Order: sequence, then C-alpha cells, then structure tokens
Amino acid sequence: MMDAIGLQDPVQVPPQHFPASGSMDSQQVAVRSDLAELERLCRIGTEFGQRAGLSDDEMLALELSLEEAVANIMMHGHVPDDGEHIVVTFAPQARALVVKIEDDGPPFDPTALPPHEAPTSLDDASIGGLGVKLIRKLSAGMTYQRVGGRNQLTLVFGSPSLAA
Amino acid sequence: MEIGVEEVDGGVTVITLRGRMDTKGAAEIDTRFSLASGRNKAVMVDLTGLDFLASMGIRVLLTGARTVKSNGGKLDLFTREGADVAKVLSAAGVDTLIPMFHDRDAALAAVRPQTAG
Repeated sequence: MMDAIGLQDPVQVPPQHFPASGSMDSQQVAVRSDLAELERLCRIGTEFGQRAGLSDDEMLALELSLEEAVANIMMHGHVPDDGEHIVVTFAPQARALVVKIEDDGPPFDPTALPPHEAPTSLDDASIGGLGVKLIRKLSAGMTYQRVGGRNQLTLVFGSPSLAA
Repeated sequence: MEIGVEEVDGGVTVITLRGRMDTKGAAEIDTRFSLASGRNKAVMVDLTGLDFLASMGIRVLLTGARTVKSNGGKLDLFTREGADVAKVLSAAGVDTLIPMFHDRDAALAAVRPQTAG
C-alpha cells in the first residue's frame, strides 16, 4: 500500500516522510501552492486515516476537509507559489487522526467566519464559505492559532474521546 | 476529470461527469458545464461516475442549476444512493436546492419536457 502514495507524481515526498507500516509517528508533508498537489495530499491523508482506523464516513470527512482547507490557502492565502510554503502534519492516534495545516501567508482564521446559513432557495444559495462550512460540519474538531508568523489550523477526525 | 454532453430521447440533455470534481477538476469542466446548462432547458446531471466532489464542484452544479432555472427550465442530479458524492451534497444542503434522484429513469422523467397533446 505504501507504494501507492505519490511515488509516480512529479513532486515526490522524500522517503523519510513515510513511516514504517503500523507506526503511529506523526509525519510532515510539504506542499507547493498548486492545485495539482491536492490529489496527492488527499491520497497521503487517506493512507494515514486508514492507519488510524477511521470509518468510511470519517475518511470522507478527512479527504474533503483536507481538500477544502488547503485549496483555500492556495486560492486565497497569498502564499508564494515558488516553494513549499504549506506544511501538513498527520498525527495518527488510536481511532483518530489529527491534521495540522500550516502556511506562512497573512493571518487568516477560518474558525472566525460566521456560521454559513443553510440556503432555502437556489437563488439565495451563497456559494462562498461552503468549504469552511463542510469542514466545520464534518470534522470532529477545528481550531486555529497564529504561531510564529504562521497560520496553524488543526483538524481532528475520528473519535478522539475514545482514544486511550 | 471528464465531461460528456448528450441529448437523449425525449429532449433531455444528459451531462455526465467522471473523475474527481475537486478544486482542480471543477475548474477544468466549468466552461463546458456552463455552456451546456446555458443552452438547454431540460438537464439531467449524471454524477454516478464521480469519485470525489468538493465545494468548487458544488459551486459549478449550483451555478448551472440557477442558469437553467432562470431560463425557465429544469435541472436535476442523478447519484448513487449512499455514495460519497450523495453524502457531500446532503452535507452541503444541496439536496434541498436541486432535486436529487438515485434512479436514472426517475431523474430523466423529472426534467423531461411535457409533450403537447
């Protein structure tokens, strides 16, 4: 299964980013600000989600939230596209996966956005903010910190309360 | 990702989407989807070949549905029951805005123009 991750992609994750099978060590993945990176990132996230024993629905929540959160940074985060300015850390736990997404763009706190109102008609449906709404709805936790000039968004998937 | 547009019996245009309708995929098919939904008044969107759907993909569907509606037509969605794509549409509240069917014939019938006489 490990061979399925990213090894055929133009931008490869160095081998040291892959822990030995079964390891619960956290791992960092550096990402360029390029939408083409998202599929690779989602595949890596899925691998960690499986290792953490997430359910099918939790895996969907993980993949979608990763896509939305990191795409937001790429499209609106004013992160230079000349290097790996986005770093995603996957920290598997028993029955949970903690995902920390960091970037060095200007401060942006998605948790401070007002709750997305459920649209009642097609004409009223606001299209902006849907990604953050989905993350909020599907993840088990979402927190933001500004640390050392970097945005740090932490998402939790699975059932961390059941973890030992 | 891939998009196919075909007219089927009874004057319904079927837009078939395949692959990952993520942020990148949605941008790839946005123009063709807009054109197809702008020209037709009876549109069924077949999402059963989608592996993944993200908010930018939902945006394409909502914009298309709005265009068809403003032209006096109907657009609906065909998804596989219990599929990830259907779950995402429900989580986003889209299933209450655009009719969603798990049966192909029902999805076609719901948008098919009424024949006179």
